[in-house]
Amino acid sequence: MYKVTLKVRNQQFEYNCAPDQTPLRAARNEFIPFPTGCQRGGCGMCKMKVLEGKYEQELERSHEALSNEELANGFALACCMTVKSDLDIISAADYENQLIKDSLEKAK
Amino acid sequence: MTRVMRLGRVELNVLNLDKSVEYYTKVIGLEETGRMGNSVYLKAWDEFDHHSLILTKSNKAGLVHLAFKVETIDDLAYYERKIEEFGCTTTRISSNTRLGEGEAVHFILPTGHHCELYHEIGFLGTAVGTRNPHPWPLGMKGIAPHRLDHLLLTGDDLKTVTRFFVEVLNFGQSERVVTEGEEELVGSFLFTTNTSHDIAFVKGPDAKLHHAAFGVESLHDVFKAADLLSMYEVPFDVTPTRHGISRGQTIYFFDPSGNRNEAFAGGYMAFRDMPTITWDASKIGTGIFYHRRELSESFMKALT
Ligand code: FES
Ligand SMILES: [Fe+2]
Repeated sequence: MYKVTLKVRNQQFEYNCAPDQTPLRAARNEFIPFPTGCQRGGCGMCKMKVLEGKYEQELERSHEALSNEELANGFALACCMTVKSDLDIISAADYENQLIKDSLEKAK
Repeated sequence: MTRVMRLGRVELNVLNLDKSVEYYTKVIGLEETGRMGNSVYLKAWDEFDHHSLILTKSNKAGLVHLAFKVETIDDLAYYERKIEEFGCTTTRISSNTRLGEGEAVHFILPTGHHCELYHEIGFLGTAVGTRNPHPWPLGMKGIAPHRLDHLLLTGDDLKTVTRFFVEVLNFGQSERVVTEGEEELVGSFLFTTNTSHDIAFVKGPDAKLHHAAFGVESLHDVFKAADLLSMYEVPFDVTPTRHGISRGQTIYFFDPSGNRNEAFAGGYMAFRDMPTITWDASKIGTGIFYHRRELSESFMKALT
């Protein structure tokens, strides 16, 4: 069992994820509101940024949902990845909001 | 009066051709009718033309093109002129660009989707034939729909795309969803056959696919489709329910590339002179999911 720390919809969650589960599936099993769509790597709704931890992203996915550049920058699709250690993740939307907030702070 | 006969074919991008062909033949229950390049051609058992679905390998999901069949070859020139007059650019696609297809007129819809009109396409016949036919063929696999039924696409300017279908392609509008004061059109359901919709649009990003629907006969078939999808562990979007819009019975699920599919049954018959039904945007939950009466995040946001 790995421990996943997730920030999504401005909330923080902690849950366990078995090595044979996707972090999306494990979250849903705990009624954690992980944004979910196709569960097939096609729509990008489950996109998040991995802040810390090891994982393996299924490479066969829509490049519109997750481009090669995003992949290289630590973004992943939670519906089609395998967790290899404890994981600290934030949804792509929350991550973007945080970046905006941080840059506004700096500008002050 | 010249007439667009039906939504004849849809081409989808798929991430893995083998997996997708297995899904569309075994789970959906279509028949593979040919291959060319990176594409596989399929049809439903009750369809007689060479194909209604093309799966094309890509590194993204979504719609490549949709195409309507017109009644005569001369209709191509007729609609070509009307489309140009509306302000869309047309190009001719030559015969045999794809397998079994004659010449087509290509244009881009005001919502950014690639669309074609065609008349010529290879003929294979239904699985039961036309002489003393049985009602259905023995040895059907999977959901085994009768046919490709309709498409739901997303786009920004639904007023213009509706005007295009009504004025240029002579479609009727069976239903529409409007915001308060009729200011904005956020849903538009259009038909050229006698079904409640052959193509529909909901407000959203341009050029995206919401779902491709296959027609089954009854609620029982929708329910059986749901059973099969669980057996094959296909992810659901929505389990069997009724639509307020169209009154049809429905189930939504995702193909191996994340393209949404629907098995759709029933719905009323649409007629050219029927009055358009209007839904208030505040009632859209009931319009889409008549029982649950609210939309879901996945249904609204998962697009390919
Ligand atoms: S849910 Fe669609 S890509 Fe993950
Ligand atoms: Fe539909």
